[in-house]
Amino acid sequence: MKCSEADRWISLLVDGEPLPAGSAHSVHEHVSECSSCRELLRLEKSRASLLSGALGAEGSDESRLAAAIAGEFFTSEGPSGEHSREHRAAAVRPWKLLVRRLPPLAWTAAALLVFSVTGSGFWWGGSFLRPGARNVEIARPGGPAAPMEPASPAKQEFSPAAESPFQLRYVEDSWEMMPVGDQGVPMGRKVHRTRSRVFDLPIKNQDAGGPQPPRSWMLEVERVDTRYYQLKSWPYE
Amino acid sequence: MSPEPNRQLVSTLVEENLGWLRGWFRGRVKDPDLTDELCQESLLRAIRRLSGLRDLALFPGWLYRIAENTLRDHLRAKLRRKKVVFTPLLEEEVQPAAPAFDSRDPEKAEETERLLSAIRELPPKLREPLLLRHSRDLPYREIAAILGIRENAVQVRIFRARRLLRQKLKDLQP
Repeated sequence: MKCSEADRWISLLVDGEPLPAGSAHSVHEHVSECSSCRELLRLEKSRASLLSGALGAEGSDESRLAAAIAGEFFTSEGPSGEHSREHRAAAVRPWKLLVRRLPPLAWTAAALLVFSVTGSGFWWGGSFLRPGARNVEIARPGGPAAPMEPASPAKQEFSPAAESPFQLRYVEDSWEMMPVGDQGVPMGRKVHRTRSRVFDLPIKNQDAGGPQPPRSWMLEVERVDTRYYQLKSWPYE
Repeated sequence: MSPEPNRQLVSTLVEENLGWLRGWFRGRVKDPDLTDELCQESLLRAIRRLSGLRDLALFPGWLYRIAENTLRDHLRAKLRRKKVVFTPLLEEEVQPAAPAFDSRDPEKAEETERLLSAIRELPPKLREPLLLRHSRDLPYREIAAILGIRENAVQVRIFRARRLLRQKLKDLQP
């Protein structure tokens, strides 16, 4: 057997896959005799073990992550976690039924009508279709929410200082920032969730200085990507 | 048609597939936090659409394609974000990204990073089976099922990937 032929089978040896019955003996014989193929096998094995260590290592947090994912699924799918076909069928919106039944011509006419109304409004009237940034509302315990002007951009940042850590918690349609400990969520790392996302980010109140009394802030947060949520405005007065 | 996801089924699917999926994402992205995030998003997407899967045995391949799409979405969003100026976030400073591998041995860590960088540059056709192979030492049979190709093709692609990798690393050496 030539080295160029053995090369292919060496890859199988590295991965512990069975060699073809006809060539197994000759491959082993060649590797034991040829020093360069033996060296190649050693090199590939060492690279494979390095890669398996880096990619396949089971982190200590893997079971925790698995539990969090399963938990997230049932949280987001409702308390029972059931989403049966019957339930989905019953939940089909009337407009979806209409979509299915409308003939294409009627659809075209409807689309033209919508375009002529909204499109012209957009071009003539300016930006009424564009969502404007809303003011932040601060929910104070025992009092109604008060509107507030957006703060200066200089304050819109998460600071690494740890003296007044807060969590951001998504509650229904808004976000709350709460002092850590109120909800009993463990500190240390982000809890990876898709919808009800909790941040264990230490956020420093640069104005107040020092630990904050327990209270919640209603925040307006926008999704930047799968990882980041960005405060649209800083909640402190 | 697949059964409706119940608690036990979901837990089993997550436990059986999280390992290799995490390894595969580790090979594709550097940031371990992002890896976990993408893992979670892919698994949740796959389980939510489980009723559309005709055979539960096809779940790993189905999950792989969803994971690819999730990663693609993320990269596209990242590209879009580059065009917009956002208020700077200091999250990296709050929680510095830990290396994906053991950093106690800096030499080993450096070599691993060099190896992973070279793998990321491989053509996708060759890169994917190699990453899956080392994600949790998956046998060729399972890699073939995930990628939807024949076992023989997996064998050839891994062999070619290693040969190309050797060449790349040789070129990189001073």
